[in-house]
Amino acid sequence: MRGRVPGRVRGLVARRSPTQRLGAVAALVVVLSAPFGGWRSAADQEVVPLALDQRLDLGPFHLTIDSVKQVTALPPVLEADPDARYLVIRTTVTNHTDRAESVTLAEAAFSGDHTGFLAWPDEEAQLRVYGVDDAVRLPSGEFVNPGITLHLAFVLRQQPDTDLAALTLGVRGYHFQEVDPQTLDPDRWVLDETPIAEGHLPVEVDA
Amino acid sequence: MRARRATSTAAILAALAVGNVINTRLDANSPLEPVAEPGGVGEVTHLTYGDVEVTDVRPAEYVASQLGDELASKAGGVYVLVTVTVTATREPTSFLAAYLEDSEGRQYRTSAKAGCAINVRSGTGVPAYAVFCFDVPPDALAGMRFQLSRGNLTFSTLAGDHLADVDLGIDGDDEASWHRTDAVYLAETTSREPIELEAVTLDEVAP
Repeated sequence: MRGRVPGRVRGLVARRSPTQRLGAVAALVVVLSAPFGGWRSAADQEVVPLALDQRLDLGPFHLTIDSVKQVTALPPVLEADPDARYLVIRTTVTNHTDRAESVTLAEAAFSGDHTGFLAWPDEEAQLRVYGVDDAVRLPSGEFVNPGITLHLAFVLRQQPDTDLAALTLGVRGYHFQEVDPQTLDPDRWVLDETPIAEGHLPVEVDA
Repeated sequence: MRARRATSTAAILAALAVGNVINTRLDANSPLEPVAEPGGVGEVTHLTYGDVEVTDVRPAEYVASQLGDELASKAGGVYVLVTVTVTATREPTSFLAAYLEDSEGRQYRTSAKAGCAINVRSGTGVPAYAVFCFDVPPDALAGMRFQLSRGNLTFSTLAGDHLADVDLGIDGDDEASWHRTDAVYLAETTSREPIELEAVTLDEVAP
């Protein structure tokens, strides 16, 4: 009786096509991956329309877009450039976690379409980040400490003829990766692929 | 033959299960806790590799650049300026990890935009002087401690290091008054000579 069960299984496998066998192996791998997190479902995330004064939880920060303005110059830090305009996204950013978080996480959360992006001379960064209260540019190594709220301006250099009515912005969030067995980089924020919010925002133009 | 295969399969699955238990239940990825050496302002804290003394602590609203034409950096909360003397006792040593820790165990990093020290290096028996600037929420000041150790450049962990854990002596009354500070000091980094903080007055920049 004991010997008949493997025999039946062998017969069952033998009658399956290679495609069916491959599918069965894949299903088995998924089943066996359960203890290692293989069944953890990706969070369903609803993308909401982006709006001013809307507080978004990025994971490491709460971020609110206070205004969006296109300017020709931003004294005392940016002089007028006949070949470019500056899109200034003014925000309020609060670190609501219990550890210091890099300001680059807030910078990398932004995306956009029809932005008319122009590269900054001699640098790779797409956005420059300035403190609204002191006009000091934040270095990329800057951290926002727990409980600190900063008013930050994210500045994009753009073509003068950019169609501001077509411009859309997106803000993405992060999920916290406590353990990453494949790297030695635990406890880090990983950028989500889907934005939390996206859409067109009214752009004030300062001629 | 079949029994040997079954045994091998069972052994592999058992090894995977044991590995998973070690990784998840025993928290094998968590770093070693540092060994804290308590101290106070004006006291020398002796570590196995060097001596640390906090000689001055004071609040500021702004930290101004040594370069007169650069803008002063404003704190999101309150800047806490910690003046330190370190002396390596066994070999030339870099003190890479400088933090504040509040009464709830939250860690605060140095402010890069303030332009103060982010680490300090001492030759054996040769004192080095540094000023570290931290942007801290005003309601977290009381009970704040300064922590300094060798740290680790690659992984940002303290991994069992001996660490100076200095009570800055900030009480509730200090917290209330420091909250309203309008002090401005010139930024200092590191020096081979003792550092005296210089209070300055800001000139307004025309927008």
